[in-house]
Amino acid sequence: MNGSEHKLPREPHRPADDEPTVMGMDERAAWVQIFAFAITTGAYLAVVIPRVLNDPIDEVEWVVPLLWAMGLSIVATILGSIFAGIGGAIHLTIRGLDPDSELASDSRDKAIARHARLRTYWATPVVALGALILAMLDVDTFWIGSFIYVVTSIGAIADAVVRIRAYRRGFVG
Amino acid sequence: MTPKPTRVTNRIRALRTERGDLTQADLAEQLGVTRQTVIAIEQGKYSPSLEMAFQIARVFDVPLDDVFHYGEGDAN
Amino acid sequence: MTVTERTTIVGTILGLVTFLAFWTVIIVRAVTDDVPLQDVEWQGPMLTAILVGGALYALSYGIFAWQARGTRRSDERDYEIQRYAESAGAGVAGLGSLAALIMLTLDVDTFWVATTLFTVGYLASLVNSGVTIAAYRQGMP
Repeated sequence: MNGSEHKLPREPHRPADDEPTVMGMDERAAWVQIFAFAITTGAYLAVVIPRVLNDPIDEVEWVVPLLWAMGLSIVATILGSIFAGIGGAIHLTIRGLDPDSELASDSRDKAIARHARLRTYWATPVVALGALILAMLDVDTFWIGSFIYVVTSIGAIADAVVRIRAYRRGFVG
Repeated sequence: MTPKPTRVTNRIRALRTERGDLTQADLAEQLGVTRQTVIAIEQGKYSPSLEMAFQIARVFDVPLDDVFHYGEGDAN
Repeated sequence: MTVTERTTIVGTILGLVTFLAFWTVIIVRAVTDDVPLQDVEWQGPMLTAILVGGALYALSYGIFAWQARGTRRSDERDYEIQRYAESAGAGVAGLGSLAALIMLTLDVDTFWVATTLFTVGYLASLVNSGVTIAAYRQGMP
């Protein structure tokens, strides 16, 4: 092993075998997805649960918090991906590697995304059927809306977790 | 939850050396994938598609089972 | 034709019949009782549609499976096609849930929320059936 050339920053060079790299864009996107959904859903519940405990159900103001939560999760996902991309590019440049080739999406990323979708799509029919049953039972719209939102978030987080596991621990067809 | 174990192993690393030190980056470029994917395949952390398996064999100009080996083990 | 293909075709027909039956009942009630559509008692018809449709579907599956007894019922290909088709249907159903959520925030009458979920759910089952048949005939991507 040669000595001094492993100090950072390094000159641009073609990566040697097994040279460490940074997390790929798709894996970063999965982390962003987890954080965006977990934090905004948590915030929604933090706002709404006290109201449920204190007010009669049909007076609970849940629509505004929900719209905020949905809007923020979209913004957080977009901004998170942008920053993750910039962070990755900077990190790679310091290591002397080319962001375009190291961070690109390839067929493995598509295969992992497909695998995650096949493992977590069950959340969607659960949401639709559950909401339908709640509507039939004539419960307050707060319960229906919150159910749709929270279970959908769980599904999105599950999807991201499956993807990250596939990247880290390995994934076979 | 560990991933489903695979009985497929590969000799890609050895073949790369035999081929005059083809690096992971070179192989990745020829296959149109990232270096990470080549690393994952070599470490047995990713099972390539059938198409890609054939493409890898083609890069080394050898038959498929010179690259990949389907091991013995318990029947599923 | 495999058991799956047969149940898919029967399921598609059953789905269409129960779906149309539900809306027929609703519209007839609205017209004869002279009430706006959203005031019709919809829970009964919808529950009946789902339960009866589901029961008939299960029955048809049971009949086809019994006819094919002794042979290997489903293999890796069947399983993969089923999961792929279900995820395609789920994509459609997800849009219905999103529409329902938006309607709930706009305080739209529950009738429309429920019937949207019901209708989009039915469309999702059509997508599922179509993808299943196509996958068996033409192959899966």
